[in-house]
Amino acid sequence: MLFTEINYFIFLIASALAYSCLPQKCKGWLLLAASYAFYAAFDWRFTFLLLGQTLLCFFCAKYRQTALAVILSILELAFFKYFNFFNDSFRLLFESLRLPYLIPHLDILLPVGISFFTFQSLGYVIDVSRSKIQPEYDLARFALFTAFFPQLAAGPIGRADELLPQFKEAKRPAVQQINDGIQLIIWGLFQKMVVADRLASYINRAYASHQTANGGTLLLASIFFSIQIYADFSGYSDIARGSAKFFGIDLRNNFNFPYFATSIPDFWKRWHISLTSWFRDYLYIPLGGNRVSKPKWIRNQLVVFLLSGLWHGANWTFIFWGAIHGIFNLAHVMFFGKKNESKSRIANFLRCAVTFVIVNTAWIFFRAPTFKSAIQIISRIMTHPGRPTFGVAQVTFALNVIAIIILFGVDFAAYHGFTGQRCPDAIRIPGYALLACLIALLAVSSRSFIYLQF
Amino acid sequence: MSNATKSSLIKKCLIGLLVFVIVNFLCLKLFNYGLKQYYCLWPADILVIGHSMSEMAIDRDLLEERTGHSVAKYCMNGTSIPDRLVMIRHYIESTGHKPKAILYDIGPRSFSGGLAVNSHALFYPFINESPAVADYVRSSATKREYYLKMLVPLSRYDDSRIGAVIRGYRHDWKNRSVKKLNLEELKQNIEKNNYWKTTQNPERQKLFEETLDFLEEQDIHVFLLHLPNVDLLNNAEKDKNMVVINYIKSITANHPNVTFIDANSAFESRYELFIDPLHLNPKGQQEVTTFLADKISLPKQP
Repeated sequence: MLFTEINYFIFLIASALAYSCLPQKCKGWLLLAASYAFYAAFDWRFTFLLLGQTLLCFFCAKYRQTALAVILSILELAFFKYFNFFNDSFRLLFESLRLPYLIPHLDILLPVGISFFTFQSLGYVIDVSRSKIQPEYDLARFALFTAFFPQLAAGPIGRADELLPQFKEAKRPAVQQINDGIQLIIWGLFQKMVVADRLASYINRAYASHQTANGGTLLLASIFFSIQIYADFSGYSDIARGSAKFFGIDLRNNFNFPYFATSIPDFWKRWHISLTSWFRDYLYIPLGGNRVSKPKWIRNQLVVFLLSGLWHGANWTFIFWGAIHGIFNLAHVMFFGKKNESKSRIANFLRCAVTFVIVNTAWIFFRAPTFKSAIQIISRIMTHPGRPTFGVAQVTFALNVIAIIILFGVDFAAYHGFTGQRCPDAIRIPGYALLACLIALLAVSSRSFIYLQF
Repeated sequence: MSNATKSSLIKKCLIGLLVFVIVNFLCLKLFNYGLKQYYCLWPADILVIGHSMSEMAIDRDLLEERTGHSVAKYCMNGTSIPDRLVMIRHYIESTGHKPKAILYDIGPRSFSGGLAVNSHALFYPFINESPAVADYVRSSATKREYYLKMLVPLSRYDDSRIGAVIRGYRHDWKNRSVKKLNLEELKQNIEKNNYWKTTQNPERQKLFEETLDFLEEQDIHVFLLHLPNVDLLNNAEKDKNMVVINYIKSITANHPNVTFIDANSAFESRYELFIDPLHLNPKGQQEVTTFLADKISLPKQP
């Protein structure tokens, strides 16, 4: 049941109505049942995995067995997500050394959202061990914290100190929340179905024919992918946040105009914020953060970025993507310190453009199926210049460009504060109605979200 | 939630919904006009019915000029035999007019699969226009799809239809393709057995015969056009193709109102006129239209 399907909205509205009607003590149970039903719709067998992870973290936090929770959670994640990656890598290594290797490749299904709910529940255990929060004694409430359906499949990764009190309160949603929820869902659907999914066709074709496509086409495809992944994941996060508001729950914002970032460190304060802050709080700071010697600080930075790459998937391309960001992040801090913005608009624009070029180049590794093909794409961009093709049809291309202009136009207005009270209802309501019309007219559905595979 | 805040939320939702409905209604009117212009849904002497091959092979303006008859060109990518009967009925119902003749493109692969599986989706914009279209869409689409299209008119359009709307407003029916036939690729695809095969689906053949019977009843003359395909493709299944062409010729012989025009033989080896094995370029369109115009002579009025 994907966020773009009608089934999901029927499910969401039915759950929200039932939630509003039920007495307070039953609200949590209803949400928990709805969340497990939502997860079972992907694959019912993995509900046991979700339950297992919930029980593990609940009891480990209660009895202060943090190390056990961390080890078992990482092992679980490693098995489902990374077993074949390391196994295949070792096999290649052994074969190259002409040594026998007996462990076969296993057909392992990747459970939806495993990286997200594992990190969220682990964060809780660590917070308890640090006495940042008290352990939760209500298992059902903790289970809801781990499985809350709007954020279950692809985040945003929530924090116990933010979410558990909201689940405990189980209040009815405020009018403003429902209002905001509807707007977030419409905007999320626009980003996902009108921008991301429309661009997917051009990108898939170009990447599939990267050995023959000209440099212009590949460059445009790489730029389109930068936009696609943002629109896809930001759209998902907005629908998740909008859905949560129907239950009176505020989830943290995952994106803060990342492509307006003026440096790589700035980009990482704006991109996938819930994951970045997780790594900062539960990995970077425990490693010593920046309060260590320079070599150790460099190590800490690189470890975080490499693991962030690996978190996205079991492929060397993701690790290299993390490495690129790590190196440029280090370089920026070493040469420019923490300075991100300048007073000059032109200087900021240039910084923004340079940052986008770096981020865009790194996305080529993220999107390419293999390291070799990523290198081939970059090399063709440099050596085979040519006019980009329009893809399937000129009209499709033109509509895609219009969709991108709307996306960044709205982002630009919001970035400059033209949101909330500054945007009157007389503009906002027809604006969202027009967005809904554009969704009706231009939406396509790939029936998947990029971040569901992570 | 207080009553005041509740009513404020409901008011906002209703205003949003109203804007949504109005924009949908206005766009539907605007888009449908453009689409009707592009598909020439107006009274004409000659109606061209077909899919992308005829769309790219027949120059409406040139045909009109050369034959001296008004021409309507109602061709949509991916329409097969069942769709074309709906298109003919739709044309007659929406214009209230019977053309004197119909140019109907037909070829060895007309009774094969391989065209759009969900070709009923091509008719969504006309769902309220004619009973024939409404019946066809209702029987082919899922219930959810059907009611969504009924409720949200803008969802009836896709990129191709939006492109057609723009071209309709510009009265632009020209073939503007700049692609060139890649002979090497075609040869490789034939070697790999990777091409659109000729098969015969008896249901489609029956429906084709029903279409001709219907047109005979309506007293409409039919020109069955065998539009050109590249000879390399034709020769890949020469015997099978011959069987289908002979079938078409035998059907033609049984219907006094039907004439078969073979445009394939004259152009199949003229590679410079093609953009791919099936479709013609602008120059090919001019040459084939001129060829057809010389072959078409409409029966005298009684």
